[in-house]
Amino acid sequence: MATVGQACLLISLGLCGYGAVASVYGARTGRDAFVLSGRRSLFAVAGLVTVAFVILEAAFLRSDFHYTVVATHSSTTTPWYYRLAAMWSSQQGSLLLWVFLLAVWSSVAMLLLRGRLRDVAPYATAVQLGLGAFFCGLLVFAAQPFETVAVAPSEGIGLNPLLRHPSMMIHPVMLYSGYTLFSIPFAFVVGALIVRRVDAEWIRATRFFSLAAWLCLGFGIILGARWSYSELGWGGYWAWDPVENASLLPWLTGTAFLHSVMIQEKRGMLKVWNASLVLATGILAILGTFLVRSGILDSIHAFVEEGNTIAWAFTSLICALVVTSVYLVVSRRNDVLRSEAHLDSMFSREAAFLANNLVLVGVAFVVFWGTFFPLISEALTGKKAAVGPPWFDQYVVPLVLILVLLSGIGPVIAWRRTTPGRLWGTLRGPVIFSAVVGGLLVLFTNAASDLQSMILFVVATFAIAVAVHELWRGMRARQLMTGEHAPQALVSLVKRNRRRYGGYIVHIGISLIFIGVAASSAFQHTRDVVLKPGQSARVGGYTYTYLRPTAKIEQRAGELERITLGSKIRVVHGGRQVALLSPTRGYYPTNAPALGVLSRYFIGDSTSEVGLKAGWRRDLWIAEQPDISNLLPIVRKGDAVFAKAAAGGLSPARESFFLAQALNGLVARYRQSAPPAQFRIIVSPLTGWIWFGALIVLFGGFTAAWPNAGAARGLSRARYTARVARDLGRA
Amino acid sequence: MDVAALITVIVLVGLAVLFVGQPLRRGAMTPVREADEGRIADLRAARLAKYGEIRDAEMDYRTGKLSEEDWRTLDRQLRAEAVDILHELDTLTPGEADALQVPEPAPDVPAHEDDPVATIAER
Repeated sequence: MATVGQACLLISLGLCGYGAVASVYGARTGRDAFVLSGRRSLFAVAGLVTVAFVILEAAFLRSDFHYTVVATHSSTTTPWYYRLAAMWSSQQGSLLLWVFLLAVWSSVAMLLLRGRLRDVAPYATAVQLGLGAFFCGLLVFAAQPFETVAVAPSEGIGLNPLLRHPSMMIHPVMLYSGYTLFSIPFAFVVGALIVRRVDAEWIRATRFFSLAAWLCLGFGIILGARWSYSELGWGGYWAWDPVENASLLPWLTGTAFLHSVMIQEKRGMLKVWNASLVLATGILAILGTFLVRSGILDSIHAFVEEGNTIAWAFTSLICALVVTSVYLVVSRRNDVLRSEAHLDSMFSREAAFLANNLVLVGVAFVVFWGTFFPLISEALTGKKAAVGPPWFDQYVVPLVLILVLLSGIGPVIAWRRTTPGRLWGTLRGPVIFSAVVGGLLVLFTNAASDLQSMILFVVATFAIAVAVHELWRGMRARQLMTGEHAPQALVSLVKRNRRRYGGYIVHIGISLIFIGVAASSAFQHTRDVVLKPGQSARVGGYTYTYLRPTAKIEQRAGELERITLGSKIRVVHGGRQVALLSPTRGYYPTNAPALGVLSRYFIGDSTSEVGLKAGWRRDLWIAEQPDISNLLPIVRKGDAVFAKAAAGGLSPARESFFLAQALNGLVARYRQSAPPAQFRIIVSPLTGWIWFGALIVLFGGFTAAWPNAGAARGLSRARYTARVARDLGRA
Repeated sequence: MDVAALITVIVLVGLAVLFVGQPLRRGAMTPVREADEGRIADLRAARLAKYGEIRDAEMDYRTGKLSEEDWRTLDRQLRAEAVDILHELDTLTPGEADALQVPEPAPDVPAHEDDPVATIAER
């Protein structure tokens, strides 16, 4: 099957090249047959890449170690659901996932948009196929997923233990879905610029995909943060790591685009800006993939292998995309990209959106600069210097404060113009409410001890109040207009303008996220302690007591998966037990032949499983680093005994028996007399709001992205729309 | 390479060539698009966007963001822009404009269907 998989990729590469040329030729000569043939190439590539994807997934599922990529990234002791996800922990598998998602999403887009934008679509198809050709080329020539060996090893190396987390099964898929979905508006804007038709239609046509991309990418980012929080053992969810930043960049520019494109749609303004944002977002999506897979920047997320050869290819692609994009925008700026209208007033929603865009792009610039500073400094000084979280915070936090404030002001300003008096009239309620909340926080909490956080609490409350107030006022207006009951009026209101009210729901979610981030950053209590069983530590008003050590051997498919050492921790607050936590550290066996029979179970990869009690008000979090130093001398002695026995002709069956005895003995010894262990204890307020806010963002995003039934009915009942048009003409 | 794999690869190549090459064999060498088709599509998109603007302006008025005077001024301006779009659309699609003159309303149109403002707001 490896041959079939490899052949699928090779045929796909050929089809990508053919399809791109046929699409452009058909568009330029007006020959529909070539355009259609080009589009079919895209569908065929989707089918072939899907076959290749399934073949490789099947190899992972059945632990077929003839495939080099399976042997180096999976094992028989890896649970089947992690074996499925192990594919994209490898360079080859992740590139195959990328091209699979690109082909599938592009085909879906071309199917849904068939018959629309018929002059633009062939060029968009060519762009998609061009990107497909690049990734297929990498898979055929540089990172071959179907490389096999004649004699398969008896066991694989296994999946990196850090990646054995539910979030990691979905996180890469969501990120890559976001990246590849953003390539759809990217491809269409390139096509629109080529044929000089940058108008409302391509925006309407690709709006769903832009929103879906934004949603997938945002969800992927949150899943990554959640993984970091519960798996990495340092207690944080965001560290301004280069790979985290790389995924944030297209999300920021995509967010800016989703706002500013409304101005172009309604007013025909900001065409250069919007085209530039879409192009930048598409290129940043490629850059994000590049950073994860190239390893040019140090990152805990960059799961890159030795001997990486793809960096030059990505660099060339990104340079080509940047040059082409700049040329297209500059060459069209004075004709099709010319603005059709001007800003009527600074007191208008257009102005608020423009300000919001400037701030978002400002944040993106700061993140970009900070992320690539190591490369910039190396190029200029020869030394690779990195900037840390404080550097990012000093620029990003003030910008975020302005952004949240604008997200509160934007929805209450009318399009085109309003008066300061009327603006104050609509803002008065939310301003008073947020001021009251701020006052209560000052009076009854220590929130005022951190000024930036205090300001953020107030502006986020203001933004939430505005969004809720807008929903309420819209509902009331609708009740007056139609006589509907309140819940019915609210549902009708949202259904009839999903984008607007879905956006307001997103604003609420984002504000909750920022409140959670501010509270958990500024008011978190963290302490690193070493405790013996029976000892306690007091953190943030909570008493953590190390009750007893725990240790067990976990098996899967008759094989030892890992040895887990941990503890039972009782948490007491106000004289009452509030949680019983079980932090552990899992030790995964390694196949390194140089290690002894016992050592391989203790000196391989290990990963932390935190003890967590999450709550609305605060999270109680603890990670443990057990001390196994007293076990290691015994382990080394055991290695020597086993080596001697093996030399003396110990059979494999008897070796397994004695090995099990020895491991059970070691585990029991740790349980009975564990040495002091090192703990990181965190009491983190409002962290749960981040995940809850993310769910609200997800709901709001779905609401906004869901196809508008009203619009569909309007299109299908074009006759009735025409009557409305005639009425308008008479008015 | 084993025989089964070889046959599978040949079948895949054959299927891909058949599928991709079919439009060329049919000889569908028609122009990609009719003249003005793109402009018509743009105008239709612009018409929907303009209706959205009119609807938003009314909602802004009803939720107190616009005074009645400002709303009426803005509404007149937006309707004038919509009329321009419709005029151009009618010029490019005269047959369609005639064919669309069917007066019966949609079944779910509210009671104030004769008021174009209210009707647009509902859309």
